[in-house]
Amino acid sequence: MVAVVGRDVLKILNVTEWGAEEAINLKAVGVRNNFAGSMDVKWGPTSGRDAKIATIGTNGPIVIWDIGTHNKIGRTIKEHTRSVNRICFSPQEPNLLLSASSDSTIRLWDLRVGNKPGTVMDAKDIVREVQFNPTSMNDIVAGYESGNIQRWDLRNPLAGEKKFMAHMGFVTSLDYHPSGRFLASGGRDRTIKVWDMEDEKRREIHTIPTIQYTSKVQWRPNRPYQLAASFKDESTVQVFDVRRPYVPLHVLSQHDKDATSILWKDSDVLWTVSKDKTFASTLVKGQTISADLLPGGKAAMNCYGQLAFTVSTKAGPDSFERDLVPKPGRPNAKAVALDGSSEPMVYRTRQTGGVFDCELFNHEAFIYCAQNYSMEAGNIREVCEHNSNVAWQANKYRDSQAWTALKLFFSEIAEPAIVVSQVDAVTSEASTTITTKEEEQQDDDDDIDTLETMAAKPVVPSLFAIKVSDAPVKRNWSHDDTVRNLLEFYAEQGEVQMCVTILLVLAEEEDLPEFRLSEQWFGSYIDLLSRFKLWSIATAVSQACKDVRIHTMNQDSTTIHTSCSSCMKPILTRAPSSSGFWACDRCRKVLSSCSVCHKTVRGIFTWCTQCSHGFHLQHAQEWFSQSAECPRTNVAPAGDTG
Amino acid sequence: MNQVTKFDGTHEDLIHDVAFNYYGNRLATCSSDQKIKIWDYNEGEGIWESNISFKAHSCAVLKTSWAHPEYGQVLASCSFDRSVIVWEESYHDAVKKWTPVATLRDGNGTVQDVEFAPNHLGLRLAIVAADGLVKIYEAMDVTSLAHWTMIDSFPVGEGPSKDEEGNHCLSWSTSKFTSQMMVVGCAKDHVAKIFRQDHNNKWQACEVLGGHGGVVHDVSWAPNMGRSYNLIATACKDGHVRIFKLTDDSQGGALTGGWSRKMFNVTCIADFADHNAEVWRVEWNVTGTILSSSGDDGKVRLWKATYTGDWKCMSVVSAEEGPNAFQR
Repeated sequence: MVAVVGRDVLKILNVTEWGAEEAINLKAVGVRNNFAGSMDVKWGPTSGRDAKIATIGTNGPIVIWDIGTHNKIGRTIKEHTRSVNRICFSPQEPNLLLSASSDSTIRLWDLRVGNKPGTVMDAKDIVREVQFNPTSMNDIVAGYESGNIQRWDLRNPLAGEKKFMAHMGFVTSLDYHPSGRFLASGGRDRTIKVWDMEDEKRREIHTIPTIQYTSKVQWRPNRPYQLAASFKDESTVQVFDVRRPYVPLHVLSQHDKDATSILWKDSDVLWTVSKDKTFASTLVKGQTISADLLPGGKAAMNCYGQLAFTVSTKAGPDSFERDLVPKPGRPNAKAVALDGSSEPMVYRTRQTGGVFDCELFNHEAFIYCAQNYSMEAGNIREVCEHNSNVAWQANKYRDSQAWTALKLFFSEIAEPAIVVSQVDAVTSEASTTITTKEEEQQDDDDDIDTLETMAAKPVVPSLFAIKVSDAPVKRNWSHDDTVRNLLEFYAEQGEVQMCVTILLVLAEEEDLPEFRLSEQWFGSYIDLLSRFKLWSIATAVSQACKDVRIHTMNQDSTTIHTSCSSCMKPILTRAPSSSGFWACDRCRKVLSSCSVCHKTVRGIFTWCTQCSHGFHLQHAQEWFSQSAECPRTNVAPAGDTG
Repeated sequence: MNQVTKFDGTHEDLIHDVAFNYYGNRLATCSSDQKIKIWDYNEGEGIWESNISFKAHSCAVLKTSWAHPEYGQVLASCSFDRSVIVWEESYHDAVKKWTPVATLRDGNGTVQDVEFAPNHLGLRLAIVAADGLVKIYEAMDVTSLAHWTMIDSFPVGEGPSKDEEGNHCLSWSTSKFTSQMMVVGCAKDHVAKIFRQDHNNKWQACEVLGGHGGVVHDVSWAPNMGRSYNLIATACKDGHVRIFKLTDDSQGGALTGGWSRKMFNVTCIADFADHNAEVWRVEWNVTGTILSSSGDDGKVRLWKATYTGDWKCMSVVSAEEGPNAFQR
């Protein structure tokens, strides 16, 4: 049986395994007596004939209902002068009821004695929450508007213990740990804190930062480290293990709107009510462990070939230690075991990671080649030779070979013999060099095969026989297909550097068909150059490209705003009536004037490095050849002008 | 292999994402401890240093993404707390500080992925939340970053999704000369789908990458780099890493502007179960030639294509095994 109250709800539900049904509706009784709505409800610890529930009416009084015998109002308590925020039955003495009120008092009521005024404890602060210690009858704890928590001994209602600051903002909820030693508190500062009430220093031993501030927090029975909390403006109810403050054990999303209150029925079943006007009974055991939904690892690579990663492991099924391992070394000084064991444990995640230099990308060679490759589209043979050497210097033997092969395609007819020997020499040398390199040994062997077939083509005798008889032309034979294969091969490897450079070098000579991928190559190469901050080369590449989209890339979204240097008004260069770029419309001053002749400088503008006054280049030279000081401010410019 | 920096103990709970910036000289890590940490590469000493750590959200921070440096030092993060926050680094009295410049919070459910669009589309970011809606935001004024307008929103699947256990993820295609494309992992359907803008600039679900035996944890669209085909990798709860090859059937349709729902011929060219545990994330390197995958087996695996086009595991990396872990 559970009592559920709300703004216009006052019911007792009979909860079974299959669902909940209304057992008693007290609303009718309540309406007659004008206590229809309630803010809080508590069952008295007694059952059967003496069963009682207490509610806080929306309009003020505490109402005690005798529901064991007849569903009627037993007593109404109207002594509080302002609204009552929380009521609490003593777990040991069923007829003792505590009430916390905004009138800055805590009152204790003995329900056995009819209409006897309660014991008053003057808290001097708005009391938000009050709770009995489950193991010690006279020990109660109260939470205040100021964020303080105070312990009271009921035998001394005149003065409580010293208050201690628990939260920034008011205390929303308190719950004593079943051991009676620890206290969980929820505060407006969006934290749940766990306090060791035996430690005089009153330090929090756990702090859980929460998604919103808690409306109710309650320890889970028989699970000393777990508690459940509902939150303001939050539909989910979360179950935490306090040893892992950042990741809730379970996130229960039974409701569509704010969950307003929670109650553990037993260690596995949690009852919740919500602003969506529903009551839910949730079997917590077997719910999804929310940590299982969190990504446990990630790897990322940068353009320098470094690998940053984190990876985690899960050990064994469904246990706290699955995701976390005890921290090596001395446990944290604050750590206290909540389960009564003497060894407090501090845990850390089973996750490792870091940044490793994996040499996944040979950025040094890339930068060297980018800086030294010639992209000139004139003298193919020389450029290829140069680029071949550059690639060789960068230890890019494969690329060096490719450049040599390209050069051969355009060789003068007069030197076929030299060509043959050269190819052989380069090929053999390259293969020995490559086999000594560990990197991608086997792959490179495959690669050499392809290159050899490419390079071998010019030495096929029949081809030469035909060509030699022709008139001397620059191109040996039609090798568009070979070049295209070469480009596609490099594109496949992601080597846009080679693709772009070859395209640029062959731009005039080669009658290459429109490559629909070439603009992607240019775009990617420029992007890659930008990653290494090689802006000048990126600009050179984009300028050299004939494709309009690439060529005009740098002009996209580039705007220059000019303002008058004396009144800061933007200069409109195109307005017909204005004086244009050279004078300001508002203050009528001549812009960028020469400090010597006071005329506008059109063309090269030089200026004093100290005071930034400008000159015609010629006037500056003349002036500073005679004087060491600026004509306007009489300071000497540091070093050269302009 | 040099070990440069270890992350151990730098966050108080699981680190969920590590992300390099465009230049590869800064790194952001985000964690369940609600914090984001920024690491800078110290070139002189060759180590990564963490100078700034800040509380970013009121729940676990799941992913981060760097904007292109053209827009400044800008970072977006998404969280269990249902919000996306855009952060910008600012200087005050020579002190670097990350300040939240915009908070996007209009979804129901955890924001599960956030990624800035490729630079040529402007300052845009796409997010996907547990409710199964992909939303694309654009900063109207790139100089202030405070105002983001939702320019598109589309559901990843049929009907509303309230599957809290499902996971959505997305990855933009960085290709500059095709229509806008992205691949989205769709929680409950155990597939990833390619979404593309049609002639009316409406996002449409197109090809489906199927064959997954569980929730798709992550998708990653490889940088195209002018290849004649596209590659997409997926990480799946069933422990597999898959690579899909998208070849253009339509004879240049993608590039010449013809739009069709079935433009690509999708084939799964690699399917690896080596992790033998849930695989969480996959990511390509900048040239789209090496794929990294990280799984619950505590290992990162790197995959590379051989010259014959077969994908092979080129190395297994773990933090414990030190330098020897890099097996060629």
